[in-house]
Amino acid sequence: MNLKNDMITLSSLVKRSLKVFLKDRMTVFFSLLAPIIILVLYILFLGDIQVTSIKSQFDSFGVSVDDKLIGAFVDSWMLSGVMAVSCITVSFSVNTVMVHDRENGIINDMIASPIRKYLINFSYIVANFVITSVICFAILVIAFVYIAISGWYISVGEVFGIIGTTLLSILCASLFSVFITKFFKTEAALGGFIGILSAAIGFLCGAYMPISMFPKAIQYFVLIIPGTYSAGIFKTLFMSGALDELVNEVGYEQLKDGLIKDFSIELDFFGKDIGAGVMLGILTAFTALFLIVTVISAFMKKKATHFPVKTGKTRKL
Amino acid sequence: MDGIIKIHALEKSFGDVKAVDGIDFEVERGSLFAFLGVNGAGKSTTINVIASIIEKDSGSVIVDGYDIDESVDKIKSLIGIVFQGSVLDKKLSVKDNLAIRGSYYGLFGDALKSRLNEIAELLDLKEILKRHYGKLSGGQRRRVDIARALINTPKILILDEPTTGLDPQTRKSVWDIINKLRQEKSMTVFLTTHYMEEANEADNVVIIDKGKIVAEGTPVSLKNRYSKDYVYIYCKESEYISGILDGKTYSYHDGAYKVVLDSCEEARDLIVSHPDIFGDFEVKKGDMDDVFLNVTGRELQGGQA
Repeated sequence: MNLKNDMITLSSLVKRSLKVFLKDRMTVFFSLLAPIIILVLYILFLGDIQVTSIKSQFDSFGVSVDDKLIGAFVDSWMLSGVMAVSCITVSFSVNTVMVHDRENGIINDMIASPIRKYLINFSYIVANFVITSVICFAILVIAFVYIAISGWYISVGEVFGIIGTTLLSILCASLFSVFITKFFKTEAALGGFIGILSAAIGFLCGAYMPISMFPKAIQYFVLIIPGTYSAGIFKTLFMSGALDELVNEVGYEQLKDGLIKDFSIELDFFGKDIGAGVMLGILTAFTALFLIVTVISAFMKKKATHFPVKTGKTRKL
Repeated sequence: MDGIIKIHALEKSFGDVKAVDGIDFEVERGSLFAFLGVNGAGKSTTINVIASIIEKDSGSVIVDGYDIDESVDKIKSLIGIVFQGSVLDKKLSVKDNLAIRGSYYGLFGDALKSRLNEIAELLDLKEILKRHYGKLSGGQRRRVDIARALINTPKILILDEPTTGLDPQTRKSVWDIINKLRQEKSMTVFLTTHYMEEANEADNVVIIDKGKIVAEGTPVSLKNRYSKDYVYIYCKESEYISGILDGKTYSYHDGAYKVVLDSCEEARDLIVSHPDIFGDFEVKKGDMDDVFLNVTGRELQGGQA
């Protein structure tokens, strides 16, 4: 088959994944569990804790600031966490389709057809990227609406930066999650993993509480997770405007560094503070690494991958 | 014989288990070929090798003149497979399912549309094209499974236990389709089954057990070679009858003597010479069940069908 046919097959495989995933309402809901957990916890108490702590800090300086501004600042912190976490958990959830295909022998139907093998694998990565993008950009729109209501301090450049960061985070997560998911044999196992991931990732990316509140050992541990850098970049882009406004209002420049540290807008990278630029570099490096691993594993797996289907499985009538 | 599938010295192991242990057979063009064996005998493994879902360890597979080691894509486009379990997407419509599978073979646009129409006509799917595959009845699903296998206009239709788990009426409708395809499209049909009566329909039967071929031939020749005739005499067990049957192979079970005979003539002679003991009796010709039992030394699960 020529390239044109390959592209048609690829787009058809991607469309198939998209339809199969989106038609399963429960899976879609569970893919959104992590951001929903963050949102609920935030509304219940996490938001108040942060607002109170900032206020008390300001009180010690003897200044007072409009609650709405502090609220907007803390809201944008929460939404950066939501975005960083969504890119990862949604991406893993989308792989449910891939595991389902293997568990039920649907992939054997593809292998028995004259499709190039790399296309099958590649289609899952592309599909993951596309579906995760659809869902994450929907979340982003909601996030922007939320910020617009709570107080908009984001520049146009930052908006584009956020869109770019979202795309890069999704690309990184797609490559990583598809590779990792190859080790899961059943949907049940993947489901369990996603459950744990959804709960843990909020901590690891500093969405429940800033990373600066963790002990140093954990602070260094989270540095091996790409999501941490993605969260850091999102924080810089979402929060800078509100932060400047806050510092302006108060008139104390010193407060800025304190808040940047407290909310882990900059990260302590093994003793050295790094900003969004370096984080972007690290996230890009991670993405490149996963891309290389994906390509190498595609070439190493020359032998036919066969997924034995449990025989004796009763067909429902 | 014009063999459309030629298998020679095929071997395949999974770890220590030899799933297929050096088998040879040919499937004649246009014939109905049945692969008979219990679960785990190596039927599905052989099919998966032919469909190039798994790689063989050694041996050769030639399909319509193409060697699987050289022209695997060509072979893939010559074959249509109905898998044992469903491989279609339950949440998608029948039409979507078939269109997606068509794209695997480079079918799209008008070519796809006309192929879909042909198949819908052939298998009577027009009414259910827009329905979700998962919401269809067992028989309708099987029809769609067969439609999927036909999307690339294959020369060979492979069915892996196509009727297992289906009710008798649905099984009949599956068979009607198979017969129609053979008559109208003169398609070669290769099926695996563990139902005796289905093997009985075939032009050629290969019985496989523990990865080896233990018998092959037409159903009639297999019956002649491997099955015996029986006489059942329903009566009380007595020394008198046992005396008469002395020298023959017999057993008494559940209120009846079961006497093994070489031929119907022997049964006639026995009845004529001892009419007094034949109050209530039955002469039974050996069937495929019998062949299987004698060849493999074990009974088929689900052979009661």
